Amino acid sequence: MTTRIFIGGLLFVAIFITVGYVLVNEGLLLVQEQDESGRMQAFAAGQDGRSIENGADMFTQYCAACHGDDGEGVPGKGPQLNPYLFTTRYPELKAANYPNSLRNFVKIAIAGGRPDYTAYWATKGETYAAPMQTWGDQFGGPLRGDQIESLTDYIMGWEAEAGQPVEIVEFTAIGNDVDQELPAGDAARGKQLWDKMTLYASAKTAPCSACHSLEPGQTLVGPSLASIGTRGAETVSGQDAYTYIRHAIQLPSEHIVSGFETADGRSLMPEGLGNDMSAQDLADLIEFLLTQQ
Amino acid sequence: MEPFNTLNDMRKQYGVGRTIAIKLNETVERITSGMDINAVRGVLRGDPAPKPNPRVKPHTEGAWFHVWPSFYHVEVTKIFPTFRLGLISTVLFLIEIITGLFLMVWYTPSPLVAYNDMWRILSNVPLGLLMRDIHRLAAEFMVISVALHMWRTYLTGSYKKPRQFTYFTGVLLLFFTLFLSYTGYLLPWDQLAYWAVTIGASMVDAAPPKEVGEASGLLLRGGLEIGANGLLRFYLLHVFALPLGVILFLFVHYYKVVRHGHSLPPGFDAPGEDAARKVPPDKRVPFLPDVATSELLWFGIITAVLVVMSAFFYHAPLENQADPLNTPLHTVAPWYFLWIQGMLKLGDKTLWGVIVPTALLLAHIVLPYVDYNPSRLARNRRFAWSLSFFSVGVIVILSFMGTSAYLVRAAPETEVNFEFMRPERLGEHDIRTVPFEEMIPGTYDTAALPESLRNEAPDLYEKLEGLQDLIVYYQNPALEHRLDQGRAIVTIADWQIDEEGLTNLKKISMTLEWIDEDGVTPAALSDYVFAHRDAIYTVE
Repeated sequence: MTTRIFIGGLLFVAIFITVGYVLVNEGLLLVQEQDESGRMQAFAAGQDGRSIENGADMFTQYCAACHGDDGEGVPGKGPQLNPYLFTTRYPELKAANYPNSLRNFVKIAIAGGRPDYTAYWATKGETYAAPMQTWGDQFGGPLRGDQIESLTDYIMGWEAEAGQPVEIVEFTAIGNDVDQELPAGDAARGKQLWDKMTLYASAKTAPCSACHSLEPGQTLVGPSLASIGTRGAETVSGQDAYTYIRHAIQLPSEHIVSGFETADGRSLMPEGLGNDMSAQDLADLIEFLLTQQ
Repeated sequence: MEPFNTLNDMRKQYGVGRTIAIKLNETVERITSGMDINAVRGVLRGDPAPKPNPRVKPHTEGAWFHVWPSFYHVEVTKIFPTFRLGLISTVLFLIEIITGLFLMVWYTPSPLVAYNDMWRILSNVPLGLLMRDIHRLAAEFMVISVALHMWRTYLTGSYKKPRQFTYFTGVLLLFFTLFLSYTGYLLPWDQLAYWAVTIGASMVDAAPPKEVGEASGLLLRGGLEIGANGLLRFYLLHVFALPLGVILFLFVHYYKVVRHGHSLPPGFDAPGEDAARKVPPDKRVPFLPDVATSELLWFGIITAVLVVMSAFFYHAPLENQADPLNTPLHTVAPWYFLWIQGMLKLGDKTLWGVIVPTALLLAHIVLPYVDYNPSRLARNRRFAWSLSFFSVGVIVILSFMGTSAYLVRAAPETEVNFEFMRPERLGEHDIRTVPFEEMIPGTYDTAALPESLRNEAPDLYEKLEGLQDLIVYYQNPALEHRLDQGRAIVTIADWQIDEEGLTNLKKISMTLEWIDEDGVTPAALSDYVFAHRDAIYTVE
């Protein structure tokens, strides 16, 4: 009996000490709440971390095709999120007395989509190939509420980056100057640009493959560029393939392929693509496209 | 003493102090159903029982203690031969109720909030992690202890006449325990829960005849798939119907045990006789205080083991939220159902998933009634013992067959990709087990790792080396599909930063390159995964 009482007492003390140790580390003390050193705070951060990971995964899977891998936007397909959303778009909304928070603005855009996509962006001079689809399942889309939350968490993660000073890359854009002489082009580098294995002089990626496929008959957003090296010479009289391709990139609304124009008669292919590339970049791209026979 | 009309009269007669003492004594006597303070004191001090013995009164006149006999045979109070497994199972059930009540307060059985509630319990409820881990651990221990208890009962032949019905209630309790564990498994509503339970529920569909199977499946799941209806049904089964069943049958079970007396160790009785009820006075161990303190001590030991294990060594898993559209590779049933999953790999779902397990259950129920051997001694029951150990061996082998190592391998590149970048629980080869700071941005070729990396980032080096080892494993000439000349290019990139400008999210991309079996065609597989600095994973 005495042994039992002794062992029982020991166990009682051991249980109390263990539970006490757990409680002390839980995160209930004020100092732990403030510097987030408790276990509960670690798990709260852990949940956020997992949510952001899932959001990043889903963004790459569903959103990057139009908004870019890093939210930098794809001309003609999806507007820039990172950092435009934080530096310009939301401050503009706030200035116009938009009553909701930035996080909710992002969530609404994802869940509800953007059926009326032309009104705002047309005033900015940008066109997009298609409206943003509805993603939230409460509105008939494919994603659950928690998936929308994860995506929002991930996108909000760019807010910190938005506050950072932007690296200015010095380069000379070719713009829409079709008369400037271009240097000799390197088709191999053009292919690397196309495959996004290398960057423009402006440190941006070439967005061409987001809208154009090189497979015959495959229309992504714009027409297939299979055998453009030969077809380009036969499309506009007076222009050989080289000139045709160059004009198509720098002045897309000059000649619009039938079926690829917007309601107000412009090309679906966005203007201003030349602003991101240097003369060499343009020359390399054209040389690569000329190899598509 | 003459009856008093009021407390006031007592006070006048005896004074305030003595009145309180008398009333206190009466209260203790009422609570214990017949033992006053002196009797209780005598029990605690270890005094020999007085005559007449007030210590039997809680058993004869009280409701609660009526369940227990007032004395036990000394042979059944030792560890051998029962190993106290029945008591251990009951204690674990009690612990499950207590921790379960705690968790119930913070949990709602709806797919919209259940998973979030799990994180809330872990991150916003003090001692939430401890309670959840104890609940999970005690559930696993309970399955083990109930199964061992049944095995012990079988081996000592305690199911024989007159205890056949007791064994029957015991088999039902085992079934309830397994079902409780199964229904509870779904409640976290994560990938592990959802898919493991879906496998099990699909077996119900296979019950013959077809209409019965389909109807049963719909009844269990609340629909064609497990959704909001299914979760609610599993929850109600888990917190209400099944615990009620267990409590009811536990009372019947234990009542029958006491009614016939705890069966004595084999060899004490002559074959065919049962002297358990007639306990000679010199072999009696009174419940109060000896057996009661022993049971309390076991309660303390089990609680202490669970608390210490959950605080330092064991954490229940939590994967990503259940995604009905996305089945993870290598989905397995909970370990106590691996043997059924193994059986399903043998052939027809109806035969191996429904008919055989039901037949086994029925065999256990029928066994005590058809067993004609009156002896409980092992040497007279060689066949029974051999059959038992053989069955246990078969279950172990079937359990190995139930694991994903047997017969469900995907293509080698998929397996390698899975090991390196698991979407759910992290394995030993997983890149995300590398500490975040050690994931140095850069591009690495697993076939040509720089030696400097071994010192700079030993964990990362180990994982990349492990990846190459995995690839080499699949270069075995005996395999039909191989990863000849295989290697992986792994790129780690900083992806997002926090307010302080420090990287808190990294992207890890992997391209697996190898030559096809024809020896000429190059092949490749690419995948990526993100790692957040604060993320908490379940690691196997």
